[in-house]
Amino acid sequence: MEKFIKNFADQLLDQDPSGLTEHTIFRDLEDWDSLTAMSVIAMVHDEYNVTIGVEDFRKLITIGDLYYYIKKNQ
Amino acid sequence: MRVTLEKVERSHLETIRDWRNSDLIKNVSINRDDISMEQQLKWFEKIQASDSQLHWIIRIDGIDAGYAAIKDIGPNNDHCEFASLYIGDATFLHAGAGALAEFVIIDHIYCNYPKVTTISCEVLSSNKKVLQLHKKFGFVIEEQSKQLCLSGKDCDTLVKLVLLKKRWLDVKIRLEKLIKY
Repeated sequence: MEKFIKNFADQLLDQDPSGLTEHTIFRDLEDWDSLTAMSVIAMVHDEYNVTIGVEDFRKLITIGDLYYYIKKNQ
Repeated sequence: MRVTLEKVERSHLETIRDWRNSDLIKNVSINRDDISMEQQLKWFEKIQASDSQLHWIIRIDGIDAGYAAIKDIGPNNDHCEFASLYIGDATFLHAGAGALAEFVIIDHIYCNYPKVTTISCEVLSSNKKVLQLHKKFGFVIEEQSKQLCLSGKDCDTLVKLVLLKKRWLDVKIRLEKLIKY
């Protein structure tokens, strides 16, 4: 989880990973926008070899949701 | 996710009007009055007669999802302006669709209108997420002095941003790595 949070934080501008937890609602983050969403989807594909479709991605709310989705689909 | 642009036809008018009159879009628009079907039809006749505007339905994976318009565009123009860009279908929000649409449209303009060297847009200062997104695409703020006092709302500031072609070419290289997904 810790490494995933760091990978996630790397997709955001000026985001300190220590400020994120698995309970963080990622769409509430200041730097979150449509391009960040694309960056995260790309990161998940490149780092974890998991492709997230639009419908599935919309249902994911927290960083933890994203992490466990990846685990389930690897 | 695959984005395509389809020229607006009469069959799209009701959908565009529904999107435009929704709170999702209306609350970040400069003009917040509801659009009637009569107004929509008059608008459609006007845009059909114009040769300096482009109006598209944004389709995502084959589904009508949003709308975009460019004005002051032509084979001999060196500048054009985003008149509108939004994802109207809420099922496509929060998953990168807006960014992908913006990429496709900007690239379409710079690839197909080689004389265009700048693209501009105007955004309300209260629409912070869109301002942030445009900046990530390479847009820079040119002017933010025009005050707008909209009926029923506090006054807002209209921010004008511009994207130079040479800046886009640098940004595009970076963004292309993301959009393949």
